[in-house]
Amino acid sequence: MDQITGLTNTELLVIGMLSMVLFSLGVALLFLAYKKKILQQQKEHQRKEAEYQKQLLRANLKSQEQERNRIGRDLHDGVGSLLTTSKMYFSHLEQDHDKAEFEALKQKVFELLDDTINSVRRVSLDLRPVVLEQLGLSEALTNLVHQLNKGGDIKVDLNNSWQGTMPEEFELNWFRIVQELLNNTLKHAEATEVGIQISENQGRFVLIYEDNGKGLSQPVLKETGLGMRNIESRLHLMEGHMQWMDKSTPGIGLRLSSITKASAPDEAEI
Amino acid sequence: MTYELLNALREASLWLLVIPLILGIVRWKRVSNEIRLIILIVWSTFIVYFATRYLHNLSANNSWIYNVYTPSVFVLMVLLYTRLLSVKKAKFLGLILISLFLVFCIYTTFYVHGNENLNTNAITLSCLVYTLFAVVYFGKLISQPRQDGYKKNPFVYFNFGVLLYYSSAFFLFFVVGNDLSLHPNLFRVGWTINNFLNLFLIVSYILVLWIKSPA
Repeated sequence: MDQITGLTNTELLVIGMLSMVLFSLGVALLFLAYKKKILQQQKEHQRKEAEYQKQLLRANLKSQEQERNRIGRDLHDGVGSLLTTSKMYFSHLEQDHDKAEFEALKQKVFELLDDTINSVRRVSLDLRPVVLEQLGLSEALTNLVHQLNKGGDIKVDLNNSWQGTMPEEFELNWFRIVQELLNNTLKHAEATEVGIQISENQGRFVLIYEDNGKGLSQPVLKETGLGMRNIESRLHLMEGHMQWMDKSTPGIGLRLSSITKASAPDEAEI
Repeated sequence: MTYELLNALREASLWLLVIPLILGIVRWKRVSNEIRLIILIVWSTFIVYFATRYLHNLSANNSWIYNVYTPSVFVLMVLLYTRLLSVKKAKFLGLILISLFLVFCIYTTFYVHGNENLNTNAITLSCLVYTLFAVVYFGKLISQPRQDGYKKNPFVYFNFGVLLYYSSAFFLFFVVGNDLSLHPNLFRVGWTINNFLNLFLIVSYILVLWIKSPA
């Protein structure tokens, strides 16, 4: 009884009990190591998320700055110069002229004032799309597409089967996203056709955007990077996603989607 | 390993147990129900220490105390772990587990070894159940979405103490239950290791009562 496989019972007992101690320590160490690993992964994920948010914020600020510059330029080059010219004509009106000359000057001043009004309207429309406010997203997009098709440089096909509603803030975001996409296509893609499909899928607003341009090469991506970040930023506010679609034909294909109802603040935090 | 070492460890366990005993009294009103279950385990353990020692000094048989103590602690531990593991139908499963164990204890006490002998079968089984509880609890903590909360979770320390003590106690009582205990030297070595690990279990009681449980 005292000898089992060359070991004494005492040795067997000690080995057995110590094995159980080692087992316990092993379980505890495994637990700690696993927790540490998961914690590190979570921290890394949080760091990347924070970095991404920072990039979005930076892009947002930069885009705001660019927008202000553009408006400033529009006002200075358009409205400013028109008003300066108008002033010059008004100063001519003060002097004595014969009637015909006076009428010609007056006509010129009216034309300049009309141009100024149109210029101001254009800036104002850029800042605040009135159609969107009054008639909603579908009509605003139809109007936008109509304006582009009227130009004749590009053919935009809008296929809208979406019948739902969404908060005004979301509508404005989607309008800006489409504007940005079209802007990118016009500036960089050398495309002749654009297709926009709008639908609803499982309660989400879905927009598919395709063009037949030259796609996005690395330099173009660099140029459009800010715009794309802007799109991401707007989508992020609506719990949205953007996916690049595999296309057999040239050009880009994007699938964008978002929720259609603003979620509670704590739910929106992901 | 001498009897002196074994006795010294027993003395140390007894005095160390005074700390969680007092902490339990002081903090009873401010702690959660789960920690109250641990305090009850501490109190019952302290009473058993004293009672067995008193009877031993009178040269009277004290094994019957363990026949009462083992199922009592089992009930408290099952209540505690069913809450900690927050399993579905916890009350029902706990009741089934307690009922089966009580039937097993009564059967072995009255029909297998008798009331005057140590209930090694019941202790072995309870140690195995506690070890499994502890392993499953660690598994549950791993699968939790919040990974940084475990350092402030007092039950992590308690769970480690349980795993460390009861897994080795399981082996000890398994051996004792299989009649290898006939050799006196075997007894001494086994009990010395057991009492040494018991110190860790008592330290885990202290940590549970010392660390503030998150609300």
